[in-house]
Amino acid sequence: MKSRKKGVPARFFRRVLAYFLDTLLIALVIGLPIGYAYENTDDSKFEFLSPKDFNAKDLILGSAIGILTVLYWAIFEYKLRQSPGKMLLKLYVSPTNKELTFSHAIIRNLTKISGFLLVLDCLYMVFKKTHRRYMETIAETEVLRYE
Amino acid sequence: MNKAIFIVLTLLGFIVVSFVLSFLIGTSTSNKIAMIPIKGAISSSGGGLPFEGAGASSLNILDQLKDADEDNNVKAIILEIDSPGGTVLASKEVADKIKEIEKPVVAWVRGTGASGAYWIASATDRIVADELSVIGSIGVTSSYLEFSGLLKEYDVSYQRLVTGEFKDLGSPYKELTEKERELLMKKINQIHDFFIREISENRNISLAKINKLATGEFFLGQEAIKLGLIDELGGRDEAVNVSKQLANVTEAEVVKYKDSEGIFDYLLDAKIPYQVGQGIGSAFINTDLKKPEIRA
Repeated sequence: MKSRKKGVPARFFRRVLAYFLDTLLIALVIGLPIGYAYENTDDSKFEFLSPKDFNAKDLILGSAIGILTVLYWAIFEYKLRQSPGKMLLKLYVSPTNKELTFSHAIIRNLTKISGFLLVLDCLYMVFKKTHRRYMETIAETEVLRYE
Repeated sequence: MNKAIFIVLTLLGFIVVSFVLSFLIGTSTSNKIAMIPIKGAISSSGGGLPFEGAGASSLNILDQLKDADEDNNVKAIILEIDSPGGTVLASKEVADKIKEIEKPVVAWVRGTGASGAYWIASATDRIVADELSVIGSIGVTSSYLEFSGLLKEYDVSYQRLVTGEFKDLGSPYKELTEKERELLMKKINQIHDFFIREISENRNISLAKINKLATGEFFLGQEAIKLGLIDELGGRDEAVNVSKQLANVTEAEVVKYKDSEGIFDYLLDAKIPYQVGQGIGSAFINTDLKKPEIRA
């Protein structure tokens, strides 16, 4: 498998571009169907979960999108070491220690559940002057570029 | 497995899972009756009046009416009304929207359906109210507090610097002149005439009869039905049954629409104290001299 060939750390800009390509794909395969459900589901369906004006529908459908989004990256990176976006930009995920397990793939992508968390995750790269996000260090992985 | 095949199959898998999830979460295809609340004073912003708490925003009501109208599963709309009325424009725009909707719209008056709220109710296909509900109060008001006496007492004078005779009409810092009073009353009468013409057309009651009823007097439900101001006596169940009849459906799920409120309302329910503060504060320190609000 190509990932066994050692590459060089991927540049941040390249990674951001890959992220946006994946996000576009996610919007198509996950966002559209669930967005359709959002439009066609009335709030009262979730009234039993709403303490008052709190909108449980937003939370449930938002969580569904978040979980599927994390799974998207985790499945592709676990099986192929690359998501389609990374593939187009010749990037791949490499374990820094042992083999990449599925739980590692989940952990490294957990912050992608929310843009805000992802930004915090990325800030670690700035402060630590490293090419790895915080969750990547926990999952013992890094993103490399084919030479 | 070939990489490309794996990617395509996985993406397809995500589409299928997302659709299944959407379906499980609740894409409903059953008949629905939309219940839209109109509670409190009606205004464009829904800010209500000081000491009256939050009101109903005509923009929110229009959005909800649009949503209900566009939802093919919604077979009828019930307006759950408990309102003393509101600004003329806000009431009129809701009444106009109701008339555009082809689906049956039923007004269910709970506590009060007065003035502008009755205007809205009159635009619906049927009005259901309790025998003790407050109905009517057809009339227009533009009353406001005037502080000129108070200011004099504290030796505060109002320096009038205007370029038009009526520019500061309705300023709370000065007494209304005879000419200003006449002008204001002329406008109020114009709105009153418009209001009663609308009620007359909506309810199919002669203008002469409505003119007699339009004294600002409110009627109890049991009186209002005799006067032809409402169609049925009853509560929620009657309103739902009437809606089903008009929509020609035997079974329908009643779906209550909610205002989407911000985090500010959710946290501490701080809107009422805010409005009281805003009301008191703006009366004393707001230098933006607004025209007196005309309410129906």
